[in-house]
Amino acid sequence: MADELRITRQYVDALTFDPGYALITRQYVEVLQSSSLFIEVVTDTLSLIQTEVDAGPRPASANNSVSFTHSEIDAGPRPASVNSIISFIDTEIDRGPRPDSAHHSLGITDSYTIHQSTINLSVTNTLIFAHHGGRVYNISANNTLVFIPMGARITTANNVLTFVELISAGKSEDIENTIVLIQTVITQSTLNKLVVDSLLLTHSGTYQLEGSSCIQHNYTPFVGFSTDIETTPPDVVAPTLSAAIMTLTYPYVSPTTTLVLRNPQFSNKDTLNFNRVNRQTRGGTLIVYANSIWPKIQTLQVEVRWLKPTQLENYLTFLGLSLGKEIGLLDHENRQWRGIITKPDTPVSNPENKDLTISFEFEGELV
Amino acid sequence: MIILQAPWPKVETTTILRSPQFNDVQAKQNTVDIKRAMDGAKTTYVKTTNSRYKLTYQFLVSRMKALELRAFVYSYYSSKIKLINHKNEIWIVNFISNPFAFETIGSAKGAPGNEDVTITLELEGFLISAPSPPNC
Repeated sequence: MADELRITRQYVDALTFDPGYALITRQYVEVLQSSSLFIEVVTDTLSLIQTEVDAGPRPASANNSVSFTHSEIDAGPRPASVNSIISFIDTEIDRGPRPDSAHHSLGITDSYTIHQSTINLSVTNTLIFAHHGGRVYNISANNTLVFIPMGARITTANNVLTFVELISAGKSEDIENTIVLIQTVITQSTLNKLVVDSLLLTHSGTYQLEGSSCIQHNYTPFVGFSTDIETTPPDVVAPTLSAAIMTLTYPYVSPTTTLVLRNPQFSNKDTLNFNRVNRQTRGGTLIVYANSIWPKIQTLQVEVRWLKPTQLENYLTFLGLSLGKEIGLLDHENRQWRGIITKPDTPVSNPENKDLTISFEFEGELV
Repeated sequence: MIILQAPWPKVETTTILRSPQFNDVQAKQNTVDIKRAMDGAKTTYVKTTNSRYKLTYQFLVSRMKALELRAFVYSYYSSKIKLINHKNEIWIVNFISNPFAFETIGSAKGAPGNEDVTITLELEGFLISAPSPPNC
């Protein structure tokens, strides 16, 4: 660019009058010089080395925050170069004023050895590569990131890459994004944790019919419903009773001996005997407990009078045969029982002439 | 009328009986043990039962009702029972009688089962509600 001159002051002598000539005797000239080229190189190099000797259980936080801010007020045509280089392990090969390839390897390795199992550890590596070029030709720009999360236990391993390529001017042959993700998790243990929320809701209901006196005499249990399976409600169907003559059979299965007796006298007893635990706490509360598998003993006590001598003989013979063995008993209500005679030594009495009386106790269960 | 409901509190079954015979019993279960020293000094040991009562009812029922009560006892002999007695009192009780002897005492023509049966029940528990006494 050529320089320009600007006359700032002149001294002139007039030689003649109208028309005439003037003679410039002195002149002040300023040279307006064009701006020069400034080639400046601004280099910031920052190396951070943290060496921590941890005598405590664990450092709470270790942060490296590096901020580069380049603020350049350039009055010239262009800056030659503005570079910021952060090198952890950085190798740069520059072959000329316009390099064909620039290779930067930046490796961040977080390695933790944790000897405690209950720790929540968050490891985050964030890299941002930004290439901004004004006029770049024949340049290959490659960004390679390798994330290697290694740890004894990684609950969630996330690798997030975001490539943003902005070319505001110039040429670009190809835009290639190559992502290689290799995740390797070595499982050292599998924890199966069972989470159970038990909320037991039960319901039950019962009812009763009123207005009839029959419900105080008939077999009318009012059985509702319940989700409690600990107890079994009574059968709502009344047992069928009919007239029969008490008959003993032996053995119970495939009986070979049958003894027909008379029906028992009144005051016969149908007895239930349970095994229960009754305990009183120190505070006076009564605790009654019974396991459902504990035996429930049902006993019949009968007395039969007015037997014939042959019936008595047969009865004694029957006792000898079935002593301690299971027999069948058809009671006077036509219900079939199976069980054993528990008191065979009950004496046969003869209170009146030809009035032969026997009594026995039978323990068994309804068939 | 006696109403038995079991198992309390999740009642499922209701059995209705006639009112019990006379000579029904309601007795506290507190006990006092008296020890006397050689000089005549008396020491008493009291065992309270937390306001628990023992009820003794004797029922005369028909044979069919006895079978119903037998089935009720067979199912709930260790459960808590809600009892509404002939005085309209509400009790929470347990069966404590053992054994349960259903004795046929005679014939009853026309009654279900044609027989009369007696059964004595011993129950122990708490009174939770009673009707207000008359004003007169």
